[in-house]
Amino acid sequence: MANEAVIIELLGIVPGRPFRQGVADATAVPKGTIMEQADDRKVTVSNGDDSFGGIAAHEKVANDGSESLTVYSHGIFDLKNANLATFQAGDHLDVNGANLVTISDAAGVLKPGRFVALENAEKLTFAACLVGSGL
Amino acid sequence: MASEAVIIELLGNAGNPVRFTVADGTAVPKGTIMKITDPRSAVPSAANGDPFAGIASTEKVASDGSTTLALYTCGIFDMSAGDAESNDGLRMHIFGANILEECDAADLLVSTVGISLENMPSSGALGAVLVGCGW
Repeated sequence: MANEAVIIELLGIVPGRPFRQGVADATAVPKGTIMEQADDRKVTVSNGDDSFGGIAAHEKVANDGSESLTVYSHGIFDLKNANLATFQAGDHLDVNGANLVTISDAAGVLKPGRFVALENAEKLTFAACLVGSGL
Repeated sequence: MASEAVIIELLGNAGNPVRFTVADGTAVPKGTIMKITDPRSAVPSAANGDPFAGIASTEKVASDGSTTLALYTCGIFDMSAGDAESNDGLRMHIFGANILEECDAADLLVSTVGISLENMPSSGALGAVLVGCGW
């Protein structure tokens, strides 16, 4: 993988508001991976127009015997804009590719995991984004 | 300014304050509803469609040397819908300087303020709004 999210600031009473999700033992997850929410309270690595399942708080090595993963759900992270459109500070964003986000359209704002852009971003550049604020 | 938000109850980590950059020359009364600007900056709300950044947690005096301001992003606040009547249970967005309005579909594409907890009369009187709960 590449383009993992980078922590700028973890927010909330418990920094980053971490919680545990299920994950397949065979899955390798680099720290900072944007995860997709799957059925049965499990996550997989993001790879498309996905529902947000948190940001991997630590690395998970494939076949390490672990079947759960802690994900961050609240903070300010550097996220990478996909190669689709620019976005402006204040826009709602959603997951749209492997570790990529894009400006939300009408369908995007209905998905779990609306992020708020805190900076303008050209295509394929990183920008600070507010995650899990509910704004 | 007028019609600043009034704290009813701070939720989360005492309002989940987030620090934004502000221009030193800007005066910001406590309770001002702030707009996100690039990069990770905030200015007082002024117009319909401004993306919501948060609510000023303290007063900032113009040219006091400070270039950051903590904004509340989670809590219940009394806010005004100006001269437009609004019902409870609706998503609200910035309509003007410290003034809210019910969201339509297009308004959901940028950061919104919160959910009205009571009817807001057209007199401009304040009504409670739930901010930053992710609903």
